[in-house]
Amino acid sequence: MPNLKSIKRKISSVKNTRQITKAMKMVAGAKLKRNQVAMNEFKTYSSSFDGVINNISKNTVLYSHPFYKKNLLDNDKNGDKISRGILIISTDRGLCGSFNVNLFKLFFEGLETTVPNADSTKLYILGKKGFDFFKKNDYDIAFKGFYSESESIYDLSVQLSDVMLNDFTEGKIGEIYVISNNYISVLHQRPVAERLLPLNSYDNGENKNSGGYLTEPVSYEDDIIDKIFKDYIRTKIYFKILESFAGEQASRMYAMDNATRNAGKLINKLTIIYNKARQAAVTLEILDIINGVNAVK
Amino acid sequence: MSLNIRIKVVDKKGLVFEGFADFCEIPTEAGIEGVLPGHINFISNLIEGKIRYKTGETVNEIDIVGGGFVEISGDCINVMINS
Repeated sequence: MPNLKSIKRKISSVKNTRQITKAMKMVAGAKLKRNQVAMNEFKTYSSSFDGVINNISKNTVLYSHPFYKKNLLDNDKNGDKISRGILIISTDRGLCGSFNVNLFKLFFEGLETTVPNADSTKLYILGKKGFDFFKKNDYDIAFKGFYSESESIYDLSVQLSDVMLNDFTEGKIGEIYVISNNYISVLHQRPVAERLLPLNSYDNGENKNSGGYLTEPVSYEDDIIDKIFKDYIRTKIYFKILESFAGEQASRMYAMDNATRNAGKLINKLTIIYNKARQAAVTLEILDIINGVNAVK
Repeated sequence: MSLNIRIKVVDKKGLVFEGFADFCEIPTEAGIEGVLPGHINFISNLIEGKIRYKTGETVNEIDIVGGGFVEISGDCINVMINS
């Protein structure tokens, strides 16, 4: 028979855990609201930028820009394979369900289909969890960024995109993919892999508009276009981070809600065991007394 | 060719304005750009100033603070403000 005292101790420890998970759920809920607002505010800008780049991409004239170059993938001048860059947006903290694990799973699945040669992969990682995981698995990590160590998320995204764009323009990487969680709803975040660079061009598309663009002032039109494309990549990465932030808190809230509920179930179960054990002890004692009385008679 | 132009102005906090107009003036680095329907595809950086757009007889204004850029294609004006 289980010891009454040990069951009681177990119950109180589970109660403590439940309190903690409940508090964490509420904290995550408050943070989720804040992150959701930030994400929704930026969403319009980001999607408009998508539209603009889409318009620009229909113009064949701009295909000379390095961001559209596709042929880098096969071999560089020396015949070496050029690696692909993959940006993984994970989280700094754990306890958020399968949020990070889903990303890693997608990475390994995607690695086999899109990036067959794993040696030629360069990783850019945001978030401590992702860094720990890939370091343990001996991957070549070109950039790591922790949210807790940088002043603001925007600075971090600018810093990251500068490194990635540099590597891309210098030809160190031929393609850039982003693996991150898309925020669909509070209960649903989906990990997706998206190609960031080179940009999609409508080489064979029908809605091609070869009219080109007049870029003014003409004296530095290349700089203007360059800046727009770079800003686009920054915007895209920043939005993905915001999305991941909101998703992280939502996922944590859900995980903590589940934990609280499970703790409640466990407490009920333990209470029943405790009551049964107590009842058994009481019955035993009564039996003892009755036996004693009978013996005296 | 449509008779009016669609204007969409966004900044990092959200949508500032979206609507149709007959004529629009945008302050760019190359000077104030007047846009009528059928304008050539155009890209330029913005400078601080005011976007003026005319619908019928009324003229409205939108302030630009902090730069950005404008992209015009197919009678659509996309103004992206960096603030």
